[in-house]
Amino acid sequence: MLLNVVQSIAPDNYVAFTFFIGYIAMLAASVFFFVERNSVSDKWKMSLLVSGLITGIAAVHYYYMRDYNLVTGDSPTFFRYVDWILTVPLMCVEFYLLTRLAGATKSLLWKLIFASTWMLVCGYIGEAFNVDGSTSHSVTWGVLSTLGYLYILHSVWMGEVAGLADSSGSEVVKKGVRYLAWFVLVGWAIYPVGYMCMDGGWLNGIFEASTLDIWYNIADAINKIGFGLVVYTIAISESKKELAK
Amino acid sequence: MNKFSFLYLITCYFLASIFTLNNHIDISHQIIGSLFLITLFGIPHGAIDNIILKSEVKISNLRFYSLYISCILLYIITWFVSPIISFYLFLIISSYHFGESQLANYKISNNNKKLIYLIWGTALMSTLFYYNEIELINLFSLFEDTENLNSLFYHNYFKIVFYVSNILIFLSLIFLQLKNQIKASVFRNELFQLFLLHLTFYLFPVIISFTLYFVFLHSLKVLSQEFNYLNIIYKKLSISKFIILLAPHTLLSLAFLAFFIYLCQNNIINISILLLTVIGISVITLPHSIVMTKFYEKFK
Repeated sequence: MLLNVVQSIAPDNYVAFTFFIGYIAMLAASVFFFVERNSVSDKWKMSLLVSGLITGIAAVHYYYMRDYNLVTGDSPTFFRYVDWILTVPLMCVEFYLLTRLAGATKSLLWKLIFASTWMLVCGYIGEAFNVDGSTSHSVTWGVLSTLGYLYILHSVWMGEVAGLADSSGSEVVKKGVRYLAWFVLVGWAIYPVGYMCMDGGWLNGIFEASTLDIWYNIADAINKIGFGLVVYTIAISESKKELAK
Repeated sequence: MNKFSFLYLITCYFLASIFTLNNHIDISHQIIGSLFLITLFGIPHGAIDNIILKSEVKISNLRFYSLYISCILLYIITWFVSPIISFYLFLIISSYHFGESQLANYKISNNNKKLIYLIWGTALMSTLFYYNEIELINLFSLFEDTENLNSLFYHNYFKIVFYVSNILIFLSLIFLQLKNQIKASVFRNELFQLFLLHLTFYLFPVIISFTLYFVFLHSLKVLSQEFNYLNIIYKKLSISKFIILLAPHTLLSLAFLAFFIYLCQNNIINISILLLTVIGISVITLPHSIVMTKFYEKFK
């Protein structure tokens, strides 16, 4: 079955190809994170579980998105947003888990989850409920969505999360949170840029709709797997430190 | 990313939304918006040069003002003698000044730092010109007395400067990182900021691009450095006291600006508003950058 699907992807269909690669990469990353849970100390197991869930959920969605794209030739906006709405709040949970030992509260967790959900729901309304391609509709929802993004960005770079990482007393956590903050700043920037590239957007015409899917797929893979790998590195380093004590 | 880059980023997103709605921003609105921001943050950042210098060098008020104003007058004369040379001099001085304010916080060895400051500023200015060449040529062509400033774009030399300075600043940052003169995180931040500058200079019109940099990445940063410095000098400095310190020279500058615009508009002085702006900015940049060099020698 799998081979049939692979054979049915035309050699120049890079969109389907990146969906396929994305699916395999996310699946492999999930297996890796789940297996590696056994290599870290108890307090880091939850972080690796969440990393595995992020890539696992994405793998399932990429499987569907690849099929959807192959059958219809369209961009799977709905599946993409379902994937993001499940995985992005989980990435925010990672920030909470990393800084929990430094005193992160449940309220921080809920604020980050709310901001990320807000960002995605507004983005989805702006993109999917804009049948007549109205610019004011996409800008209004785009701006609202960006507020959520900027809140998270502020929190991880100079707000509560950054402050907690600094006071954690661990150079590894501090460095790791800073790496994750780079993912939010640079990696996540592809999403608002993609949003601005759609019909009626300011950057419309810079990328073709099909090319945009390729960028989304590459960015998604880097963001989700990279995010998990940073968490994994922190978990391994901190576990080794605990063992040495 | 620091708080200034964050503010810069928010403004970029905000502007991107406006551009999406309107496709363009009218030039008069661009000028009004830019003037508003420059008045609010740009002018005040140079308004306490007297306090800054007097806290480092023993100098009387009379001597300070005589030297400061002489410097301005001398530069005005240079503008009348040779506008082209004065214009290039302005570009070099501002490049150095921008580079210095960007990198002065890092412990760069004395042998290289002045050159690296100049390269950083040159990369910034040439990037602004490179992405906005046609717009600038059209702008300078608007008035007879600014047309000769277009000589900057003859023979495409500025494109060579753009490529060379950008490559050199990239190599310089790598060099500084390898020599442990800047941390890896600083290296990444600097690269990101350069990338952001390239992106915004490419996407936005020249007036907006320059204002974004000048206000958010330069003036606000310098104001914050000055505040921190004076906070130590005065033991404890409140924001309101800081604003009071900034007010006299800011208001004086604005009064002079209004006066010269009035002279210009009523043809009392035969000079275009654009050239007046360029001359005005350049003549206050010269003494300001000298004071700031003194300031950065002490402030780390």
